[in-house]
Amino acid sequence: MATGHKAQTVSAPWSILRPKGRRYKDLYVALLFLAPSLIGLFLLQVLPIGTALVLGVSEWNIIDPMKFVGLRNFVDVATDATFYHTLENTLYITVGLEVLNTLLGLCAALLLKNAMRGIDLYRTIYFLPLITTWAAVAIAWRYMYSLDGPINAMLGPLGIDPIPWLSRPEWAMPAVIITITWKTLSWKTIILLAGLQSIPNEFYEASSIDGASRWQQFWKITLPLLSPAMFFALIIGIINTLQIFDPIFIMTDGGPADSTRTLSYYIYTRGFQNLRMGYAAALSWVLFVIILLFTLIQWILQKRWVFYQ
Amino acid sequence: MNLRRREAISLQLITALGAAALLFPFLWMISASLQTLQEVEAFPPIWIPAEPQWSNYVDAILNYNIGRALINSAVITTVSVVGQLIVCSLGAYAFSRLRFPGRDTIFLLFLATMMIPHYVTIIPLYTMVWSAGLIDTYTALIFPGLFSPFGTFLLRQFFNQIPISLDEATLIDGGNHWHIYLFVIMPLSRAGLGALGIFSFLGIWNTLFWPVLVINSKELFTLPLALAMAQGQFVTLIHVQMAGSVIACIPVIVIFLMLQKQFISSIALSGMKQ
Repeated sequence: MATGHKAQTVSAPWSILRPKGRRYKDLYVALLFLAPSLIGLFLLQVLPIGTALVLGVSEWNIIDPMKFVGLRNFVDVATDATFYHTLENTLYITVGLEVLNTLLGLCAALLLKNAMRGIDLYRTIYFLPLITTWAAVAIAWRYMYSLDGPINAMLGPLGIDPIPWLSRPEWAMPAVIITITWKTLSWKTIILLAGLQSIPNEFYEASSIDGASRWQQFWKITLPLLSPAMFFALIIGIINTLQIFDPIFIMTDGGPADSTRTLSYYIYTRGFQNLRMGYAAALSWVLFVIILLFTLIQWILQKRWVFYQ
Repeated sequence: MNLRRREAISLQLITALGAAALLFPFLWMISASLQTLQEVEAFPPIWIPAEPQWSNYVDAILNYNIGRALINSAVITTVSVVGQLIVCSLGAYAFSRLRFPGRDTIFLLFLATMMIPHYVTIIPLYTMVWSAGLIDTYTALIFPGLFSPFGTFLLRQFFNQIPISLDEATLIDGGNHWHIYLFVIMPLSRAGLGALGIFSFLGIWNTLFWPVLVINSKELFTLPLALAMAQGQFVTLIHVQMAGSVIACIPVIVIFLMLQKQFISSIALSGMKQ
């Protein structure tokens, strides 16, 4: 992950050209270069994070004056049945997506690794869903899922009765997961493909001389050497899924019966549909802690892997 | 030999099947966008329209706000991407080439903010925009896109790879830091600027959450917002909506086809998504 890199220092050119005592002479130039970034950092990060802390212990519906309520928002969160329901949904969508994305992403990476006729075209097609606008494709999927839409029409000949994809609580989440898999699969594929390409070919050559089968090569060489990339993609994938918004907003709006309301979408619901800004801020801090946990796991284990390689 | 050939053919076949499955939603989108209302509502679905209805696109652009939204999105994305490249490259230059007290601390602060999820800052940001009376303005749409801790970090990594000897040559020739920034660092960082440019273009062009919050009036809708809002307004006009969706996808696909290699290698390098 980007933040995982260690800051490296470059010795500045004037340290050679100028006496040591004047090395802070660039302070004024630095202020000019940094001014736009610092204004952005303050207005878009520092100030909002501070405000989020204040909002977390307040009650505010935007119109009436803000009211300090202490930790009541967090107590409310802890006793909110919908909150636990959205946590379950978040777990469901995260596990579902990661299982599907990892399996299919691995298959896609193994396929696209091969030099075959038309490989450039195939790669382009595989990566197309990732870059296109969520709003545009989610609307298409919404119609594709309709009771007499193309997906049910294709399932019909297989003897499957029309499925009420987005209108039944038990089907809505699988439908959303399928759509997000279609959209984000190639991100996983890119990471795993890069991992596959970094495995030295000699390993395969040497093992096939020793009589190893393809299947053995996959389990004994490919999978172990790919595991750091898979783990990296897993953690980043989870962090991304925890913040999902667009497809749920367009396809289900959290329904039916809260079945697709994830924690991130619940923050939106509370904050911007019910105008409970303080409660939403408290929920966003819960999300922060969950994401932080995964970031820390990534950091700790990444270091260990770098060491072993 | 025969076995290897059979294997190659089956590999090709599976890859092609996967590609077909991934392409299907796009094909359906295009097909539906060219159908009449009767065709698009027919059951079983009609896969290929009897006569392509190009008028759906005209309809979407002129009568359903897609034209206006297209212009809005183009303006907002262009200004944001160019602005972000300038702001991030200036900041990255300071972190990479200048020496001043607190440099590493400030840089760490930048890195730390990358760990804060969007959801924590977006509620206060919305309340700030609301308090400042900036709801329903281009400023509200553009300003947050000008700044990116990730972009600053990415460019700094690129700048650090450029040899210091080039800076020294410029300094000896009587140049200052602005000269180094403009004539040494920027021209040599085209790959980095390109990578950040693609990421921020895709991110800003595709973004839906922020416009949903800060924009109410139709005149300021971005494309994703116009598409999303059309959902509720003209639910029955699937064919026109699909025409709007195709219009929204074309620019990103064109840019992707032009810069595909760079895009994929930068994802592989940074693990960045969208």
